[in-house]
Order: sequence, then structure tokens, then C-alpha cells
Amino acid sequence: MNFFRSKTMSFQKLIIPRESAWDIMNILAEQDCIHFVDFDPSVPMINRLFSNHIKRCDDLLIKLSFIEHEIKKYQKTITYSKDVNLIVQNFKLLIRDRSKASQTYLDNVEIDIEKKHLQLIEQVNNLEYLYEKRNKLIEHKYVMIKGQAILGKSFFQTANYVAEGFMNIQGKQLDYIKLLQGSIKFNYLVSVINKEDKIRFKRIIFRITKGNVWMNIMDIDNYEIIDTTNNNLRLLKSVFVVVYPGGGGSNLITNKLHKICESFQITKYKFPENNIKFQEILKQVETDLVETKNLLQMTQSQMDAYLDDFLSVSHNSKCSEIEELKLFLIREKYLYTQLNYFQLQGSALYGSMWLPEGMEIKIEKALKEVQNKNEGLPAGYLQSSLPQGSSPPTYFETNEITWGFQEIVNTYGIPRYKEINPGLLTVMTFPFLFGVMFADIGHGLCLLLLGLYLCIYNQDIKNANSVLKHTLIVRHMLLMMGFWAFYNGWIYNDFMSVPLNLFGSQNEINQYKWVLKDESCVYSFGIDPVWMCVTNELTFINSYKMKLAVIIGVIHMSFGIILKGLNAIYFKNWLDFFFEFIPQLIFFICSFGWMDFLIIYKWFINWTGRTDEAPSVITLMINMILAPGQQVIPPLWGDGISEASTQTAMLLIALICIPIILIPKPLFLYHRVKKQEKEIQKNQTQKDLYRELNQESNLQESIKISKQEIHHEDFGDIFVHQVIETIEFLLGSISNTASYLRLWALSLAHGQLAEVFFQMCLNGGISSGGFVGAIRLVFGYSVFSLITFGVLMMMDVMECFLHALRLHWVEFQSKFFKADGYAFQKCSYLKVMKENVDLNE
Amino acid sequence: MDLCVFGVDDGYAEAIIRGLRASFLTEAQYQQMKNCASIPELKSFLEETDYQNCLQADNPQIPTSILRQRLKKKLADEFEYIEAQSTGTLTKYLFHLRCRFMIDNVVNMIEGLKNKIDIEILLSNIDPLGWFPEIKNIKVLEGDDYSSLYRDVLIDTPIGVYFMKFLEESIENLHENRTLNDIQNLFREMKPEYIRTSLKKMWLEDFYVFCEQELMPTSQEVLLELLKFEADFKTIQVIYNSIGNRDLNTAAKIITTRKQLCPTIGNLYPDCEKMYLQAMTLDTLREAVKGCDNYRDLLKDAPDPLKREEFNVQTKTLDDIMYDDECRRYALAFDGQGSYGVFYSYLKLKEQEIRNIIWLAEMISRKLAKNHPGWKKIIIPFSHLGK
Repeated sequence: MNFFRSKTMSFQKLIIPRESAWDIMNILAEQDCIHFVDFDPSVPMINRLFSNHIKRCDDLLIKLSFIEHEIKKYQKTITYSKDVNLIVQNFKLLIRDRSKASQTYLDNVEIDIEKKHLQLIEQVNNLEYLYEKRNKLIEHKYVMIKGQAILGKSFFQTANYVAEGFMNIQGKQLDYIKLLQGSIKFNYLVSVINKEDKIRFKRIIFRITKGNVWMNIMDIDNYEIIDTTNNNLRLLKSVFVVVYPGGGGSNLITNKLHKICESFQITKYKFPENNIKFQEILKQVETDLVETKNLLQMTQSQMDAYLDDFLSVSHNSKCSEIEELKLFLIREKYLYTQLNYFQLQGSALYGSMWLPEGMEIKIEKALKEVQNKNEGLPAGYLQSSLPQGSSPPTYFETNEITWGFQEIVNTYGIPRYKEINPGLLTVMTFPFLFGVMFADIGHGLCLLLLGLYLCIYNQDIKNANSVLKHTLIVRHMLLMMGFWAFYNGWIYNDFMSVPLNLFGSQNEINQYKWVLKDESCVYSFGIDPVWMCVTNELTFINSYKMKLAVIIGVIHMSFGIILKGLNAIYFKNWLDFFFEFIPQLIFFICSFGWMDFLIIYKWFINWTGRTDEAPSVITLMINMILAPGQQVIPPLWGDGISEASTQTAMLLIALICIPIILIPKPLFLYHRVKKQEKEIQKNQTQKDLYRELNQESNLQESIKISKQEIHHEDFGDIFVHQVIETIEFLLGSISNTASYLRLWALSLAHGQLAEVFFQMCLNGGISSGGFVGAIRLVFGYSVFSLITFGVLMMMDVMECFLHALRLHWVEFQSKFFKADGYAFQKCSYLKVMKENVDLNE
Repeated sequence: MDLCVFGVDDGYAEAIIRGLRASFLTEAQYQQMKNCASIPELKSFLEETDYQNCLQADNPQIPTSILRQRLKKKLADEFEYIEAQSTGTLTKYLFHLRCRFMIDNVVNMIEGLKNKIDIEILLSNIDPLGWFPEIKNIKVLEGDDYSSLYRDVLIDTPIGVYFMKFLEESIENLHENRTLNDIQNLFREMKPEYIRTSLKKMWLEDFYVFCEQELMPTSQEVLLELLKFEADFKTIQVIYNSIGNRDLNTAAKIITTRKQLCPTIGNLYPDCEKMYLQAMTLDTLREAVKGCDNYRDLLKDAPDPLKREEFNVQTKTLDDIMYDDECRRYALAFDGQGSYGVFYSYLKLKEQEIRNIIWLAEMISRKLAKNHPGWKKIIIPFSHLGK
């Protein structure tokens, strides 16, 4: 029964010697059944014993992610692990085959990864350097070509003139060529600038030289220049030429230009002064460029090979090496995180944990196994003890079917330890309530078929990596929801807004009027399709669905209240049982149970021919409260007097229940608190005496007492709390019952939507018939199917799902569910590794 | 009315900022930070907070200057993101906020160049919030020729306007028949700190006008109030720092300098102007500002500036007192709804947080005893609200 109530937990202390901590933890984590308790959550993780190891693992993971990033940059695919178990097995083998202590495997991995990381960085740097060099060469090439284009051929002619000795070539840097033309000297400055800086550069040059220069800028239309530091983005560059007067003694402009170039981080390039040299340098640059490109290619292929190393798929684990390393590190980190919950005292680690009952033997066996395997190592020691502090965690074992429903409950709150788990009941009620709202034979069937498909072809879908993969996890839920929607569709006899006449309607047309075939005949299953053809169809269906909704709601909620009683019995909380559960149940049955009774009773009476004599259930209920004891007219049975007295009795019983809920509980609670206080005082005096005798008093005891003191409440608080609870229950029983009307409202909305779509898209085509009708149907059908899929099969499913969720969380669970537990977190390698593998998808 | 339409344009940006509220370090986290024994420990602690990503790549022994740079980078990134998400007035407003950092950067560059510090170091120390492309070109500054610096580089930067006004004012203040030499002398003697204060004063006044003219009433209400206080604090600071300052030897010089540096907005201006301009001791300053709000209380605890030499780490300086009071105001403004004050406050409070972290990092790296009063000298954003 460990799905109805949490598994029984036992609190255990574990003492492990420090030297065998890794081995023991390793084997415990493989057991998948331990919840380790942090010895003191207020101690920051940094100050824990093994934080250093965790840090190491983190660092290595960062390095691995760097490598992974590089791999992705080269568009190589990593084979991710599909089955974590294989990897776990592989690690086991690895560790067994090693001669050294198992925990030192991390050291090996660390050295290995660090070495490879360094190599990789070196490669990357090398590559970057080469790219840089290539960029420079390309730039230089364009400086030459564009420079020539800007300056024109005549530049070299005069430059040749220079070579003949008439001109004075100044400056040690060859990029500044000074010319003498007549008496004015001109200097040339040719280089490359980022395209985006173009205008700014122009402006600044203009300002600084006060317009005394001539400059021209040309964009480089080559896209090979790459920014290696920024994701290999293309860089756009421009070549500029500045011609400025200078030479002689005035170096002011030269200096300023220098400074500006520096501040724009402009590289200087050689620009030759004559044609022969120009050709020479251009040739040189071209050959350099080819060389660099070759070198670059070589380095790249080296890098390729290097990265391929990380991608080799080992045959044991069926995934790339990098993935294997990553998972190992994650596993190792997890192990140390769990070990950090232990406290170091002397040379041993002290920890505590929650174990599902009966698992002790398994753990003991595992501990023994460690000892057997490593002769020299001292073994851990398991010791059951009394739990300290918090209550035990809640642990349910789930399977594929119950998992989804348990998640629905857990999202609201984890059940308190040993409380009735609403998850189990949700498995049945949730799909049913959904089905009531989504009731439609056609749509339900679609959902049912989807569920069936997912369930049957489960494995194929998983392997095929299809879009439906993510719905697999809720396949059972879909199947059940589909089934109940289908079933309720039959009850309401609604096939996408058209009723089916499968069993033969019990009415027939006789002289333009519907008449029953014979007096007692009843339509075999669901609603007679003839209702579709009458004018009061909607009124009838609504009243029917509304009543059904209220009946279901009252049953569901009474069930919730009964669960509260079961909880009270289980916890032996007789106060709750007698002064909360019993009066609440009686109140609920006498008020809303009575209403249900009236509805059903009314259904059993044949009102044929005297429909105006039928009393309205709502009026009956209102009069029951507003005019108690008065004769009921028109009566449901008899002359109305016996009915009136029954009603009065019901009302009285319900009213009496209210003070029973309200008053006794706080009194008892207060009494209990008082008694406790007295005991504490008595203990205190005893303790004082004890303390005088023995200075080192029991610390634990005093902590316990201080905790009890925190719980201390005065009568006012207790009473106000109970008043709130009572009001909540009373008002809640009314509003919650009303809330169940959503079962009708959503079903109505669904039906009406379906009808509108049918009328708009198909009806016209069907009724007009002939060729035109056929064409209209072809178009109409495509619209109809799309809209049915989008609105009804997607949106309405979602809506009904949410409302079913609400009915469970608010209306049902509020009757009994405390939801203040916390979940059992089992220490498991498989869990963390799986989580990581799922991230890759 | 403007509350109804605030969300239309600025709702998203505001929502982001509100989300970032969760990234502030809590008092408990500060406590844990104080318990760190070394810089690597502090770093690994910060890696567990919102600062995780910006520190991960660095080595554990991170120098405080780099630490500061990283933290500021993160703030700048966040701010840039919000700026990118903003439209219309908000974009203009956020840009105005950044100008303050640009002024700091420019003045730092000028100062660094004057002291012949390498340009690479200077560039790496730039506050990323106040980065603009021309900042690199300040390098062309020669000697003390600020006017050509303005003409060549700063003229079309956002802070060019302030710089021009500053130059004009400084030159105007010289006597009638000034010569080129006089101007050169003026610039040579001018301290970068002086430039900073006057630029910031102009920025504050300009920002004030911007808020007054362009923002919606709710934002105005919050921001003008904050800016007034900020202006008042600036005024008090200027007066306070000029008391007993040796460089300002004559009374007339003090008053002209003060007049130039004190903002012409705020609660103190113009009512108390005459009084505070002439305050030559702490007591007279206290007397001058007594009319306004809680300024007297603030100044009550301030140490006497005439005994400046006796100050040490333990002294709670005027700056500390003011940070504390400002922090309270910004936290309040942050929690206000539907105003641009939240962006301003966020920036200020994050700056305070960074200051705190850096301060603690300094304390830790100097290995000061845990009972040293310096440990208490941090102001935790939002800690004022709980009380």
C-alpha cells in the first residue's frame, strides 16, 4: 500500500571512516534508496569538507564545455548517451580494473582533461594568430591595390622622380612618403580602418588638421577578414589615404596624425614609393598570403583530428568520449555533494539518512560488500536512531501510469508523511471528470486513439525521435482521458454535435408530432437522439447535465470528507474524527446530500402529462432554509407535510453540526496546551535541580523544550483559527458545489462550439446537395477539420484539463489534504545522469 | 493618468528591472561574505550569487581592480539590455543616466594622461557604463590644451555640451583683459577633480531640466525629488570639502569657486545660497542648511573637515553618511510604481552594491581583524526598508 500512504521511513545514522568514504558513498548511491539529511543546512556549501572536490569537478566541467564549444564550432556532432545504465556499468568496470584506490580516478581524469585543454587552447591561439596574420596580409594587399587606385598612376611617376634624387624621402618608416612638389612637401598616409569608424575618423582628421588635408576612403569588398575573438564574424574594413602638407620643420600635423592613428589602433603598412618596389611588395604579400592560407589549412585539419579524439565512440558506453567524461564528472560531483551532508568528527564522517523500511538489510549488505572488496579499508557502520527535528520525507513509488497523476498532486503540495495520497485517487477521478467535460463520442475517440497509438507504439516512437516523443510520458493519462470522454459522449449521445441513433429512437413522427412508440419504452443507452429535433433541447440537456454535475460533485466531495475521517483514524486523532469529520460529513449529507436525493427522487417519478406539477429542486432547497416546516407545495411526495418535516429535521441536524465543528476542538486544544505548559514547567524545575547537580546539562532536551515553546499559542489564536476553518468549510461546501457546475458549463461550451463549427462548415454543403454541395463540402471539410483540431482537440482539451485540475486541487483536496510534507530525494547516480542526458535532447 | 499608460511603452523595461531586484545581495549574504577568509573564497561565494557568470572565467586570485571591472561589466550589460528594450523618452532618459559615467571616464582619462599612465591601462579601467567610441581618441590631448581637446574630440560626443559650457565659464571668470597666457595658466592649474565636479554639476542641472520637461508627472515627482536631494548633497559636499582647503586661500576665491561648483537646483538653492557660500566652518554650514529637511541631522555626525589629518578608516566620513541616506531614498524610489525613478535607483543601488563588494574584498585582502570597524562600513541596499 505504499502508494496510498507514504512508505514507512526509518531514520538511520551512518558512520563511515574518512578513508573509505568514497567507496561507501559510491556503493550507496548505486542502491537508489537513500535520502541523506544535511547535518546543518546553515553551514554554507563552501565551508564543507568536500567543497574542494566539487570545485575541481566544476572547473573540469567548464573546461569540457569549452572543448564542446570548439567541437560545435567545427560543426561536428557529439554522440550523446542514450542509455545511462551502460555508462554506469562502464565506470564500474573501469574502476574495478584499476589497481589504485577508486577515488583517484578523478585525478587521472583531471590530469588528462587539463592536458588536453591546454593543448586545445594552444591550438586555438595558434589558429587565431594565423587568422590574424592572414587578416593583416589581406589588408596589406588591399592597401596596395586600393591605394594605387586612389592615388592614381601618376603617383608612381612622380615617385620615380623621387628615386632619381630630386625628391627628398624622409622618415624612417616607409609608409610616410614625403614629396617635394615645387616648394610644398606632401606626405602620404595609407592604411586600413574599420568601416564603422570611417566617418568619425574623417571628421576628427578634418578638425585636427583644420581641413588642410585631402583624404579619400575606399571600402574593401573582400569578406575574408574574420574576427576570431568574436565568433568568426566578418569584419568590414576600408582603406584610406590621407595627403597632407608637411615636411620641413613643422611636424605638428604629422605628430597629431600619428596620435590619432594610434588612438584608432590603426596598423601601419608598407606603401612603397615607386612602381618597381610596389610590384615587389605586392608579390611578396601575395606569396605570404598563400603560405599563410596553407598553414592555416594544416592547422585546421590538425585541430580537426584533435577534436575527433573527443568524439570517438567507445563500444562499451555507446557515446562520445567527451560525453562520457562529462557524465563521469557529474557523477563524481554528485557523490561529493552527498558526502558534504556528512559531518566530520575525528577521523570519521557522521551522517544521517532516511531509509524506506526494510532497506536496512540491503544497505548493510552493500557496506559489507565494500569491506570484502577492499581488505584494508574499514567499513561503515549503520545504526538506527530516533529521528531528530523534521518529520520523515514522503516517499511513493510511482510507475509509468501513476507518475503523471502523482505529479499533478505534487505540484499542489507534497502529501504529509503517511497522509492519504490523493495521487492514487486522482488516477481514477481525474480522467473521469475530464471526460465529463470533454464528453463527445467523436472527439473522445480521437483522444482515445491517440492514447492507444502512444501506448502501443511507445518504443517505436521513442526510437524514431518523433515530435510525439514528449507526449509519451503522459500517454496513459491521455488514454484514460480519451476513454472517459468517449464514454461520456455516449451518455450524452453527442458525436461532434450530432446525436447518433444507433439503438433506434423510441419516438416516432405521427401527424407532424413526436409521440412515444409505447408507454414504457426507454432508449437503451444515453439520451434519445430525438431530443435533437425538439425546441426545448438545450433546456433539457442543460438541466440534465447540471444535475449530473452536482451529483458527481457532492459524491466527490463527500469522498474527500471521508478521506479526512480515514486520516484522523490513521493518526489516531480522535479530536478531529469526532469534532470535525463526523459533524462535517453529517452537515454535508444533510444539506447537499439531501439535494442530490431530491434530484434523483424526482427523476424516478413519471411526470408525464402533469409536468406543471413537478416541483423545482432549487425552490425546494430555498424554501427549506427560508420557510422551514411549512407545507411543501407542490410536493414531491405525499401531501407535502411529511416532506416538510423531513426537511426541517435535515436543517436542524445541519445547524446543530455547526457549533459542534466550531466549539469543542479549540477548547480541547487549549486544554492540551495548558497541560503541556505545566509539564514543561515541572520539567524545568527538575532540570534546574539537575543542572545544579550536573553542570553539563542535556543540550538536546533544552532544544526540544525551546521548540515546544515556539509552538505555544494562546486561546485566541486557536479559536480564531478554528473559526476560519469552520467558515471556510461551510461557505466552501456551497461554493464548491456550485463550482462543480463547471462540469456542465464546459460540456455545454464544447457542445455549442462543435455545433457552430458543424453548422458553419458542413451543414450548408450537406443540405444543398448536388455538385455545388460537393464542392462546398470539400472546402468546408478542410476548414472544419482544421478548426476542430485547433480549437476542440487542442484548446478545449487544455481547458478541460485545467478545470479538472482545479476541481481536484481546490474542491476535492481542500477537504482532507494537508500537503505540507516534503519529498524523498533518493541519492542516485542514475537520476542525475539522466537529468543531464535529457538536457541534450 | 500617466499610470494607466505607463505600461504601454515602458512596462517591459520596468518589468525587467523589477525582476533584477532579486539579484541584490541580501543581508545574510553580506554576512557570509564577511566571513570569507580570502579572495578566492569570496570569489567562489560570489559565484553562487547572481554574479556567477561574469566571474567564472577568472582565476581565483582575482585582483580587486579586475573584480570591480567584472562587476561593472555585468551591470553595464544589464543596463544595455534594458536600453535596447526601451523606446522614446525612456531611451533618452537612460542615455542621460549614462552621461554621468561618461563624464567620469573622460575626466579619468584626462587625469591619467596628465600623469603619463599608459593608455592601455587607462582604457582597461574605463567604466563600461560610460563607454563611447571617442573615448580612445582623448589620447590626442596635448599638455593642458582642453579647448583643443574639446574642439577635436569631444565636440560631438554626448558630453561635449557640458565641456563647452565648462570651458566658457572658466574663461569668463578670468579678469577682463585676459591673455592667452592667462588661459594656459588657468588650465595648467586646474585639477581634474575640479573639472569633474563642475561637469557633473552641469549634467545634474541639465538632467533636472530634462526630467522637468519631458517626463510624465509621476516620474517627475519621484525624480525631481531625488535630484533635488542629490544637488543638495553635492552642494554640502562642495562646501564641506572647501572648508579649510589650502589651495583656496582667499575668501573671495573660495566663494567664486563654490559658486561655480554648487548646483543651481535643489532645496537649498537659492534660499540658503548666501549663507552656505560664506560658511567657513562646519558649524556655520550646519546653521546654513538647518532650514531643510534632515540635513542638520546628517551633518551632526559628520567629522570636522578642519581636522582632516586625523581621519582614518574608522571615521564615518560625510560621504558614508550621505551614501547611507541616499541608499534609503533610492530603495524607496525603487519600490515606487510607474515611474522612471526605478531605473535611476537601480543604477545607484547596484553601484552601491559593487562598492560594498569591493570594499569587503579590500578588507579581506588586507586580512583585517574581524572586529575592525571597517567591516561595518557597508551600506546594504533595501536594508532600510525592513525597519
